Amino acid sequence: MKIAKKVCLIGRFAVGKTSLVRQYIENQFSEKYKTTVGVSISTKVIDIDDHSISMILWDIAGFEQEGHYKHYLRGTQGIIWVLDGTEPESFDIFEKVSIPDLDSIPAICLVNKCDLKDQWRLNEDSLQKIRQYVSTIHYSSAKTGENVEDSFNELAKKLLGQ
Amino acid sequence: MFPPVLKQFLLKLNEGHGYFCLGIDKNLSIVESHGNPESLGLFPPENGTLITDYLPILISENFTENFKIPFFNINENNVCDIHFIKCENLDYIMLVNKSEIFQVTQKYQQFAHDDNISKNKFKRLAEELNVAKQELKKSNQEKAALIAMLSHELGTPLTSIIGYSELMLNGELDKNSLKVIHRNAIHLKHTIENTLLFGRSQAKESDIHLEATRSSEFISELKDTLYHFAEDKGLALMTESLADEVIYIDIPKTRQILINLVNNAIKYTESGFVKIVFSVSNHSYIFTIIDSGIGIAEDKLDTVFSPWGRVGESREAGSGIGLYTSQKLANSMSGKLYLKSSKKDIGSEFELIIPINKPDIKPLEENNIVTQQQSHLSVLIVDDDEDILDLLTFMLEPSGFVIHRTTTNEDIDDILKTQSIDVLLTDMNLGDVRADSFSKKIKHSYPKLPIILMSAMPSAKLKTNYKKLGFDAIIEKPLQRNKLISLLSKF
Repeated sequence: MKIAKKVCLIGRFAVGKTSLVRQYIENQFSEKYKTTVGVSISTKVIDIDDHSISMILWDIAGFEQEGHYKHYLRGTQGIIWVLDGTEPESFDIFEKVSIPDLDSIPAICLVNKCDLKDQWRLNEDSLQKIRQYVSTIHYSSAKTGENVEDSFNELAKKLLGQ
Repeated sequence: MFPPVLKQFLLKLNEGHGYFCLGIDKNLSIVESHGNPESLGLFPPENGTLITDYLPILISENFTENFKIPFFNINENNVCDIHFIKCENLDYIMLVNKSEIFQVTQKYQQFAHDDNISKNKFKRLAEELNVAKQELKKSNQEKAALIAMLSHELGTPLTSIIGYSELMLNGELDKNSLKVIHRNAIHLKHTIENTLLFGRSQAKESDIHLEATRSSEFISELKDTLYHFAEDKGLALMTESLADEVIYIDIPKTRQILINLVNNAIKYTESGFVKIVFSVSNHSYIFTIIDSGIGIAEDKLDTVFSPWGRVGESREAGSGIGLYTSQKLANSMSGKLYLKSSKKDIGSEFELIIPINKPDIKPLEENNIVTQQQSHLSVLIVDDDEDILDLLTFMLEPSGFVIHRTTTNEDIDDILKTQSIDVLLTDMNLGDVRADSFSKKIKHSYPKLPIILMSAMPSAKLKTNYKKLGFDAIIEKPLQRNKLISLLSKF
């Protein structure tokens, strides 16, 4: 049975949302930063047990303006919060985006850029704050691919209710 | 025919952009289209196609009320706003071309974000610089404080040493004044050792070198070192061994910690006793230092192990690095040093716990005690300080050693060629020359000649390096006669 699910990537600008999608879909990474305006859509079909799930990934611009997200988050069925482990300001995204019925939507959080260990700024206090909003947290690297595919697939399973 | 409602909609947008419009029925099937799909990078849909198959972005929409998705990136070159407009017969999906506006917006946003990223980078660099600056400032303050403290700490015993020795030279004092000179010299030695260890702990240069020693001998030697300090204040220095066995510890480090603890206890005790208790648990050696001193006020307990955190109210001097250094040393041995208890005017109890770690080293020889037998070894001593040469000659000649001496490395080869030398004893620094610059050469020419290096508190790492450079043994300065004779007698 084929199921399609809308999944939104939410995070501050330059945290690596587009790069994560590109790594997940194409196994590619570019060092050049090109800011996203609006929304780009990518699709990946994954087979889990007897199900075939089509993940419609909404790569939404990390534009922090009142009401920016409301056009894009409508009807979302899954959320990938993306933070930049080297940029503490990116940890506050949860407070800047309001999503109705957030608790009922399957979600994961990727703390990205885990390859930049010497610049890593995430500490236990920040982690505790993040856990108030999302329980599944992984450290990822869009550059090396670390934890990217596994995390997206983990969300796919959550979307299937597994 | 293009529905009038959509014409009104486009007029309302008042933007004059290109568009592509799709009419869909209640089953979400495309039934009509208007405009040019190619201008948006889309192919024309066949009637009957589901709108969610044609535009998967709409897959989770419920189409019950009007909505808008701004700036949908169809592909790299084409961007549109998607509008869903409910009408009476058909509903409509209107794609309004926003590619031009997108390009401009993208450019501005890219500039703003790049600028923001650069600012954040600079901000972070400035923060890191500020932290480094504060650390440097603190370090400079600590160094200035150390120098000020050391001036006092070194000056006080030196005053006694110079004063008493001058009186002795004038024949105004008897031999007892030597005791004062000796005691103050020992005090100087401890201060210098602490300062060196403090420097190493700051530089994070610390390693462990385990040696075997009998616990009773170790405690007894410690008591001998510190006995006079307690006696001067009329205090009883007591020891209690709840076990007596061969223990494996880093002797210099453990000794330094205990000397600091006992010294502190003596400083802050005006009457009564200072006691050293040794015991062994399943996994640890435990040294407890108990005193009947003034104790530590509750509000000072937290800073007792901080550098410069001198807490006592005694009039005694102290550099304030003793406990800090001791704790660092304990940690470096995977041990623990803590204040077990302290009560004002009753006393304090510090405990040093060192995990038992029996390394693969030679077992302690029970008769490894200094024997004062007459020796006929011929020793060549190299030191650029004539006073040290005199002192070593005074130390060794009465025990039968035949002494040859020189202040420069240039004479070594001549002496070795003309005299029968059994052992070479050298200082590291000989004016402009270091002993490690010629040790390998001598070893090459005289492979059977043992070379002993005199060095002030070398770390275990340095000792290993010295051995690689041709030195057979290292003896620590200041030299102790018994230890020196014992070492020389091994060759």
